[in-house]
Amino acid sequence: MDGTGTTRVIIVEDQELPAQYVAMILAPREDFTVVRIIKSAEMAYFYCAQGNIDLVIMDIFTGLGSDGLAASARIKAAFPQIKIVAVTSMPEVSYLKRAREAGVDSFWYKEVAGEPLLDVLTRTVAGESIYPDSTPEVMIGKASSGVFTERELDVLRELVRGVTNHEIAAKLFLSSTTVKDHISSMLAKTGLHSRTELAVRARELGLIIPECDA
Amino acid sequence: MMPPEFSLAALIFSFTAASFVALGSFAAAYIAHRQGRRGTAFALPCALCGVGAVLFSLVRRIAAGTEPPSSLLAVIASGWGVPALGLLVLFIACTAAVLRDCWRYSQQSLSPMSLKESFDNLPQGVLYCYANGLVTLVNRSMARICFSLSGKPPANGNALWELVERLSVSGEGEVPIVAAGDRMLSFSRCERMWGETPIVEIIAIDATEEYRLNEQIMQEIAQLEAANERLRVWGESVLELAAEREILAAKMAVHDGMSRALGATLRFLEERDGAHDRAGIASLWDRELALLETGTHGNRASLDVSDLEEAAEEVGIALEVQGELPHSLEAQRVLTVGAMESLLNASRHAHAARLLISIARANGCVRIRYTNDGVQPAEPVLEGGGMRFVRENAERMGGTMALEYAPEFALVLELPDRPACEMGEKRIWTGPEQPE
Repeated sequence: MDGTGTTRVIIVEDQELPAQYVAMILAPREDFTVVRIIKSAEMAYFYCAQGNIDLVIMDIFTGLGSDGLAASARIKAAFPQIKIVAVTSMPEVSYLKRAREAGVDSFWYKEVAGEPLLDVLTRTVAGESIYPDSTPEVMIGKASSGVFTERELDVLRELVRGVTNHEIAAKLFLSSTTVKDHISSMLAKTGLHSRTELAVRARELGLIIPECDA
Repeated sequence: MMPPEFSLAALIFSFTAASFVALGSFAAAYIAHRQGRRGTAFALPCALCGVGAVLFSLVRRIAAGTEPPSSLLAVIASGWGVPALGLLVLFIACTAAVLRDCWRYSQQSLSPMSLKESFDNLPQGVLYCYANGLVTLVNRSMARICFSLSGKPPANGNALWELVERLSVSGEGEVPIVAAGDRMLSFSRCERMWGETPIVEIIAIDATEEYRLNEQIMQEIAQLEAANERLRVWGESVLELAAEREILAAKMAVHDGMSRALGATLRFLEERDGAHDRAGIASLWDRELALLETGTHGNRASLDVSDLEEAAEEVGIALEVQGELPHSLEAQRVLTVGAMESLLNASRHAHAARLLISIARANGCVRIRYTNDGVQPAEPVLEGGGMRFVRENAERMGGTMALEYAPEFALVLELPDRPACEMGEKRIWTGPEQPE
């Protein structure tokens, strides 16, 4: 913080309206100053290195396809005193785990109302680490995303990439039969008719986003 | 009465002949038994017994002073009785057994003719020739194949192989596959040694079904790759859709804010008592209208050079970008990573006033060179965390990173910049500004 006790904030968000909206929420608060809005996570480290940032509000998937969690890990490794709040609207099942691994201080699923974000930011600056208990569940077919096992989600992640059962088996150290069983199980749970439909729905809902894999 | 010299000579002759016959018969019987020819092995001891019976009769005749008959028929006709009949039966048995063995041998053994016949009837075409191409052996199937390919019988193995390579529909380095009528033939060639002489073997196999299946698989792979590409493009659209959802959510929030401002304005006008703060209501409107004036376009789709210039200004450096930006989003992202690292190094170590990013393009790749006008490093730069991060990003997308020291220090990135590259095709920088 600066000498006045104000937290200097950088917002990493590629969409201008949501970025301005967050800035607008913070504007009335005297204890927060938005010093910069940047569009790509790849630039966040540079600005943090200039030494006048206390808090980064980091969108996970930003401009140029940049991975906000990978950028967060790099920032936390070099500047552990900087607090980072990861934000996203995607219910990607791996984000919470990856955010913890990256050393992100808090995690917030984007909501329209500003108060919860303000609350998360204030408590994070105060030293708390705030994470939601779980990823928001979405309905995929007739099932909730919460019914999938961890292994099924691993298979689904590879399925979204459009690879074959044999390639999935090789990557996950499973047999092709086991992969087939996992896919059949997911199809039975969701009531969807084909693996393609399953992959498309998972991708469409943001349950699996392969572009941001570690 | 027979003269004594005859009797003695006949006796000596008979015993000598009997001894040779016995020894020969036993040896032949043993060999026949070892070779599994049981008929011959049986016949020879029988023949020995027959000879023994004749000798016995002969000796008995001599001892009785009777002259022996001159032929086998005479023996039978002279009424020798059992020995003569036994001799006849044994002769027939021996002949039958030997004939049977001969017939079985001819059925079970390979002769040069049977070998040639088998070779000719092989479904594969086979040709053997010397190193100079002179054909030494060719089967009927290969002769037909050769005729269908060249219109001539096979005369030279080397010429045939050249023809096969010319007509092959498979790729370079792969097994030659040639269309011959409605069949697809797979050819192979190898060199063998025949004694001290090198021999070339050419084999043609009918691979019509395998070729058809392979073609089918290739078509399915192409369809799958096209589907994957569509899925990838669609995936990008989904991300844009998610961004649109976020914008919509923000717009809804602005809408709610405007509703609140409208409500406050209405109450102010209805009450007309100044209870509501005029300035507060104006502030509400200012805030919501400012948000409405904000652009709603995302910048995820391309790199904005002004963002880089803004970052350069932050550290007091003038940034200049020469050349066209990369086409692919991934290459633009790695360009940004390199630019940020170069700006940090230019300000911290080189104390530069200007950073130049030169971009050139060739063969589906983009070459990005970062140079500054600051203090040049006196010795090779150790690759720290920042440079390593740039290298990892470049290599992850199939590109390279290098440091140049002459004529000036430069960070150089070579990155694939076409969809084909993104699919995994490795491309190599071939020079500056060549037409694609």
